[in-house]
This record gives sequence, structure tokens and C-alpha cells, in this order.
Amino acid sequence: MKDTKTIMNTALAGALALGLASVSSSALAGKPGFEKCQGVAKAGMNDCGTSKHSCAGQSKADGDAEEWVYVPEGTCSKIVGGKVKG
Amino acid sequence: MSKGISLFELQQLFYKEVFDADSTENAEFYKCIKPAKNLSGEQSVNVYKDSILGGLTEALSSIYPVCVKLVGELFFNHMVADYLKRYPSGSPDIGDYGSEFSAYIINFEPVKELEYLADLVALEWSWHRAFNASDSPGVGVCSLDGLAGVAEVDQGGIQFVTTPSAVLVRSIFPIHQIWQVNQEDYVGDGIVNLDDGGVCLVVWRNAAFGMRIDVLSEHEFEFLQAVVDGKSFSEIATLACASDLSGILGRCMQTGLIAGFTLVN
Repeated sequence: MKDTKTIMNTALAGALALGLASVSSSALAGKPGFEKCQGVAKAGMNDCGTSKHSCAGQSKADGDAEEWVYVPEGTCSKIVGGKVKG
Repeated sequence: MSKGISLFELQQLFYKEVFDADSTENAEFYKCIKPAKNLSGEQSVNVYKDSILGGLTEALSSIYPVCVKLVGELFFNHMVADYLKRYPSGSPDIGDYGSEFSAYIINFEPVKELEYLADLVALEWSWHRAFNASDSPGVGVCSLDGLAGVAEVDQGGIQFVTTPSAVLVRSIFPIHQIWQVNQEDYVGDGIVNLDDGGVCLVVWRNAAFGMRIDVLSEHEFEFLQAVVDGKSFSEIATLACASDLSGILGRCMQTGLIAGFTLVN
């Protein structure tokens, strides 16, 4: 087994040899396993609800919480299979 | 305002009135509320109540859009209504609110069957934090150009620094797939098999690509986790990832995941 000094020295030399200036789209796009995610731009988080009519009445659900029958009704029905032990 | 009640007490009563629907100790509170011309004291307070609860619900919906899609908006709103009561906001920045949603979901009985949901929610929180992270590493961090100038005897004291947006996430479920099939622009049947197994991920922002979720190998994850934990280069060189350290370090430096370094003695 190599000693840590050699490991560090080799790793640094190798990494630096790749060149830092090439921080480029091709470096990322060429790497398999990397997923390009088109993000949803989220803005306006700090908007105050007072300026939005849509907020009014949202809390009404709160009062019904006790009688609510909890059933998730979304795309979770498409997630199949069992638990996988890590 | 009636005498004998401090501002602090009034605030406590207002908080209770907004977040505790079953609160019956509100007589004292309403003594302090002056009815408006056309609104009773209770109606006036309700304007604020709806606005606060609505604002927080909207904030959480915008942080956790995949969770909303997975369980449905109605169910999500009920889940949030319960969360709001249990987890008061502790920061003046609404962007900080919702960090404990994942922990809350683990113990939320009605979603016990959806074992992956808490991890998926943690992934969405990571996305939110990465999206709002600072662009550049803090002061005192050397740029990577300086690495070549570090003397060999000092190399062990190098502490790499990740780009501020990088957040590591791992799960025993394929949460990246669940996340992906629930994106607006996804085309396909949306079916994910949990038996596909777990995944190591880094969520971060890159100047060229914007927001990214990248799948990491075990070694890459171990390396980046060690960096985040503040381990020195000499400590990292003893880990399992040392077998491929050159490649991992090179990729992380090229992509910008590793943004700089500091030197410790």
C-alpha cells in the first residue's frame, strides 16, 4: 500500500495536470452519470401573503384537520417496489 | 390596549390565536383588540391569521413541489397545517422556514407507507438551500491555482473547500429518479421502482449549468463528505476513496465542486 504522502502528491499532480482553466461545459457534459437538470427558477419566496388573494382562506383547511381522512392522492401511486436495505 | 398586559404576552396570545385552532384562552387576547369599523375583533385577527398561514403554506409548497405532486395538493396542505403548529418559524427569513419538514414526515403516521418521502423531501430542501447559497467561497479561501505552489511537506495540511452551494444527500431509495419523473418537463410513464436501490447525490449550482443534481459514486461521496466535514488532505488520503483520489479530485476541481482550499498546520 502506498503511503499517504505519495497518494497526496500523485493525486495533486494528476488533478492539476487536468488543468483548471478547462472548467467548461464539455468537462461536465462528458461525464456519464451526471444529469443536467433544468431547474425550476424559484423566486419571490419573500413575497408577503398579504398582497395575494390566493392566500386568503388557505388556513381554512386547518379547522377540518380532525375530520380529515388522510389519503395521499398524487403521483406516489406510481412508485412501486419494496424497501431496499442500504 | 388594556392595561396589565405586556407586549410579550400580547405576542404570545396572538401566536396562540394564529397557530392553535383549539385555543380557548383567547378572551384575554380579544380584550386587547379594537374592532374596526366594519370588522369584529375576530374578523380583523383572521385577516392576519389567513395571511400568515397562507404565506407559510405557499412557501413550503414552493420549496417542496415534488412532495406536493406525490401526495396531492389537498393532502400536502393538511400535512403543512399540522407542521405549522409544531414547528414555529425561528428566523426572520422565510427562506429558512421548512428545514424540519423531512424530520416531521418521518413521524407523520398517514405517510408511513411512503418510506422514501422523508428522503425525497430532504433532497428538495437541499435544492432550496443550494439555490439560495452564496456564489463564492468565504474569505480566507485560496483559489485552486495556489495548489501548485504548496510545498510537499505542507500538502497534508490542505483542506479543500466545496463550492458554497454543494449539499450532499444519500438515500436507500432512488430519490433522484422520483424527483426527476415528477418534474414539469418530464416525459414518460412516471413509474419508479424502489427496488432499483439507493443513491449518493450532490445538489449544487454551477455557473455554466445552473442547478444540478449529480449522481456520485461511493468514493466520490466519501471524498466530498470528508471535505465538508473539514478533514485534511492527509486524513482523506487514508480513506477508501484514496484509491482513486487523483481522478476524483481532478473531476471535482474541473467541475467547480471543489472551489478552493485552506492550509492548516
